[in-house]
Amino acid sequence: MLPIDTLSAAAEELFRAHHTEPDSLYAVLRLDQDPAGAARECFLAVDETQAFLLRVVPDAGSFERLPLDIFREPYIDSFLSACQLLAHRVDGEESVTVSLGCCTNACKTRLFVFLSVLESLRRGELLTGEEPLFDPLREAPVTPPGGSSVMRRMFSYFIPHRRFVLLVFFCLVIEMGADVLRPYLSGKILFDRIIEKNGDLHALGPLFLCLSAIIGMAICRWISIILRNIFSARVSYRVREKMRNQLFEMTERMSLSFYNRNSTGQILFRISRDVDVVADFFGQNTASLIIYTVEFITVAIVLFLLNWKLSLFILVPIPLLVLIYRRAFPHLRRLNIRANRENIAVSARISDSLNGIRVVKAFSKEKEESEALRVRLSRLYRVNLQENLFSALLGPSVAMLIYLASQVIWGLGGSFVMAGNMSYGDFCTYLGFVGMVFAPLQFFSSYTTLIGHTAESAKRIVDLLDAVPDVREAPDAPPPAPLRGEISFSGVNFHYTPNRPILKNLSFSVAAGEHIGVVGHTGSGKSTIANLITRMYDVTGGRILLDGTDIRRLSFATLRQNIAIVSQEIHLFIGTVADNIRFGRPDASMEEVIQAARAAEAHEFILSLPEGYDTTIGIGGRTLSGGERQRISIARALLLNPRILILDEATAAMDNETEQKISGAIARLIEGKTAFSIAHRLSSLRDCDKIMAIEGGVLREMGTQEELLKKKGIFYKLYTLQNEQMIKVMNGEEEDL
Amino acid sequence: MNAQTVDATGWFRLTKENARFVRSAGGLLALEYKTEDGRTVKEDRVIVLRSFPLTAPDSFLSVRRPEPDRPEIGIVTELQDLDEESESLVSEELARRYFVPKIRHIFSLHRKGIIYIKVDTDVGRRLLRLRDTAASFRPLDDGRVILNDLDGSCYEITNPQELDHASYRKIEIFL
Repeated sequence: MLPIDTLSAAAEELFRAHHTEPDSLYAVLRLDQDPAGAARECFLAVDETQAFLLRVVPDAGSFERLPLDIFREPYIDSFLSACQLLAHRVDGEESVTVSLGCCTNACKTRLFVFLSVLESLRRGELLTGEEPLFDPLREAPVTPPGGSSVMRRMFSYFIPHRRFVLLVFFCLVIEMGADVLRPYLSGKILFDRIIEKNGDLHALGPLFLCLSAIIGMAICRWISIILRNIFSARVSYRVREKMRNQLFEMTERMSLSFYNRNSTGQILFRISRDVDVVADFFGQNTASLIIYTVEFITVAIVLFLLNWKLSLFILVPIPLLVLIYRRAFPHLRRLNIRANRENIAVSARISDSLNGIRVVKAFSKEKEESEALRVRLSRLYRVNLQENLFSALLGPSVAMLIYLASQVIWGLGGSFVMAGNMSYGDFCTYLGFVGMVFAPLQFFSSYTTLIGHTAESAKRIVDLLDAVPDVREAPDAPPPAPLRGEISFSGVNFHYTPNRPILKNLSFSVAAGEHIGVVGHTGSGKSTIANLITRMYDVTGGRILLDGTDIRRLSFATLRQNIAIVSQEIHLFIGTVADNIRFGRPDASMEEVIQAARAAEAHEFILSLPEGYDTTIGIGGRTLSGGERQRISIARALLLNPRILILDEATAAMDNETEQKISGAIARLIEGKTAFSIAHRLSSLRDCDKIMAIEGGVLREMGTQEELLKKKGIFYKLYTLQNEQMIKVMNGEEEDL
Repeated sequence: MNAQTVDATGWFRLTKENARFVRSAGGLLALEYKTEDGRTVKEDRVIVLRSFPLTAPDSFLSVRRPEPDRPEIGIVTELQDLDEESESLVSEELARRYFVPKIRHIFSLHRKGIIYIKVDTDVGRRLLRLRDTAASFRPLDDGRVILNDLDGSCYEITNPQELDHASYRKIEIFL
């Protein structure tokens, strides 16, 4: 049996009851809907003889045996969350479309495999089960790497800086030591040892010693705080730098599809804000958190040793505090996540609007855009307010509890001293320590909000770091090597969004050095071919071979070195003209840059610029004209000297005169290379060896211009249409327009 | 036919006056209609697409031939413009085509680069994989929330408030 699905126990019984041995079946498909679309299991099976299709609904006890040869052209109709297998049933002369089965998308992949099995049977092929039914390159499981906890991952950033982290700790220990000793010195030692009960001094010497010890410690504490801030800043900015580098690297590695669904604003937010939040937290506050925890425990022990009866009263508010935090924390965290999402939405909105500012202005939508942002901002305001109200409620409530507890201790302690159960020095020391036991608690409380913020930011950072690009380099890809330039598509299927196929079963091959023109209507899938050859996206079915190797097996370096694309969309980066030409090969010499620019007919206009090749181009290169920018991008491709060249509507946006100028450059560019010219204007395809006509994602025609003109198909139609227009213009018929 | 059935852009409106949906010999949807010039045409199999599957499921239904480029035959402006039998046949076809599992309970939700969410739907348990953005949870004006998973499937939470408390808490932050 082919490895698609297996029968359930109930279905097996039903098969046996109808004298069919389940193990003898050729192929089985499990559907999760019955033929009427109701949610219950249904099995489609091809029997041993490959002559019958069996349709079984175990719950209904139905068992149908349908001869396979009455079904023609089975196909799948894909819906939103479900699909249907249809076929034409032939009864004598009549042919009607019938439904063979329905299922939700959970069974979709296997349904497609089952369909291909049915199709192979119609062709008279028998599969042995040896061939992979599922595309092995596509089905590779995508499991995000990592697995250790988010916080541990964040900690790992500090490990390289452990020396400074240790110094920070050392400073904190000094601070803590000073804090713990001070109540002793200014309490017990000062009042019980140096000052008598009646206020007399024993001796001036010890008093000065004690006071200078207190002052000395204050100085130590002061210095160590300064040092700690310096060290922790050093660590935290280093960590920031590294995180940002990694995040940007990761973002750059992501496939184009990632950019289709994440706005620039969102990505910017992660690289700037989230990193700050995390680095601040770990760099400056985690050390304090640890030290405060230690301090809290030691001080609590000391307090009990000093006076356990009094200390019992400290315990009263603590369970209450813990309870409050435990209840409040999850709520605060949720509010926090929402606030962050709103924040991202706001920055996405701003960057979206700014990116499209030309359109906004053209439609005079400035007011509406501001209004839309105002709505977003007011939502952000509401969430932020909620969050802050909650914190506002929490903080003072906790402070109130602590205040009440200290007042009780003041009162009780006072009465202990009056009654002579406790020395005044002990009491002073005790009060000093009481402050220290509540301070960490207050610290914890003010940082619950921050922990929430940090956890959410850290999560987003880790998510981006762990994100797996849709298009991945094969781990065993051979090192970059020059290609000959043969390209072949075999049964290529592609869609950007599921259920909307762009290319359907596209197969063709191109010999090395051939120049292919691609024509077709807008949206027919021409540019998608370019995107697939350059591996901006991966095919969803079939294969693309370069020199006989699946492109998914080649390294990215091989592809980039051998394939260049000149498209209608030109992006020039911030930098000089020379830098932009050198983009693909930063090591190119000045001579080579000039040669490339000359070949691209760009040399003349570049020299007419006052700063020549050193002219800096602004964001997007808006100071140059379209034709000039295009020539720079051609020079860029020329310098790379690739084996395969794709011209994606390279001259579509240019007037005829500019196109004339550029066409010479292009002719030089494609000499001896495998080239694809994707174009609307047939005039730019004059020199092509062959023409491909694409319609609705299907290859309709391919051949030389003469062949296609004789065939009187799509190319012929386009050709005559454009010629007629030419003739009309020549005859002056359109002069009145 | 009168001017109302075909408008300036050549849109052909199908109503109970000029069209009738029937069941085809193969059990699928077929259409009989009268063209502008009064001819009666029978289409053995038609498909019906919603223009606004989420916001107006019963308005602007586009009736098409099943060929690859799906040429449009006409439009049903409102489902109730059809006679009762046609209406129920079209509803049945639409219900199957635009079938969306409804989420009834959420067992777990993990965020690991993408969101893995284990749910119970009216057609059984599913493990959905969603992109980790708020956009994966699309709230509609009528209170429904639409989830679009990585495979292009669509799921619906009819009313998040009516989910059990534990389920609601898991998705609350995305809403």
